[in-house]
Amino acid sequence: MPHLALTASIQTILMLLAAPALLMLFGVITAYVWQFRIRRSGLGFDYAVFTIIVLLAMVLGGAI
Amino acid sequence: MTNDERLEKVYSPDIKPYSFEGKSGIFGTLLSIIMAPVRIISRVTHNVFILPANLQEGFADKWLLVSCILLAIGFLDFVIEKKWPLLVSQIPGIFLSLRLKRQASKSTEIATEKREVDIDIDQVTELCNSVYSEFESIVEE
Repeated sequence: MPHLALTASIQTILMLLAAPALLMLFGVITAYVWQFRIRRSGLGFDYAVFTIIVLLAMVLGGAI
Repeated sequence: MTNDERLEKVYSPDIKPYSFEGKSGIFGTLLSIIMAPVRIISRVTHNVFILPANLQEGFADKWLLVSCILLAIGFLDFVIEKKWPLLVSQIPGIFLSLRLKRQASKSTEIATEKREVDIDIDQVTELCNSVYSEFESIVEE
């Protein structure tokens, strides 16, 4: 099945590049929120949405 | 209007029907959910670069701690679940945070150290006089 092979290769590339990059970015943003607290950083709702999206993407993509 | 009719009248607040338009509408909510990650990434990456050195040092400390915690979780994930992205993703984070911390601490030291300049009192007087003379010439113009 060629489309399955394509899907598998896309997933491999995403696992290799996108997942570590997104997780690193998540670390940066968490550190920013920790440094300035959730209110002063101005990222309350955005941070919650971002965390949920990252977690969902990582779990569904099989990265974590 | 009789008293009976007045008693029968029901006063209700202004009810606004649910709108698809505007910020509080369904499209606005969906758009904010889609835009939240974009906005957070652009804001944080921009702000990190323009932070003053003392705040940058604090941020680098927190980044190092977060990276170490996620690295430990990633190590467990790798051992138990055989999944490596979390472990691998935090290695550059540790290096970059250490580098940022070193840079920021250097800048903080330069900013806080006492600066001394060797200058003669006559030179100081001349400099002050030149400032005054220039100021006077500007005022006269």
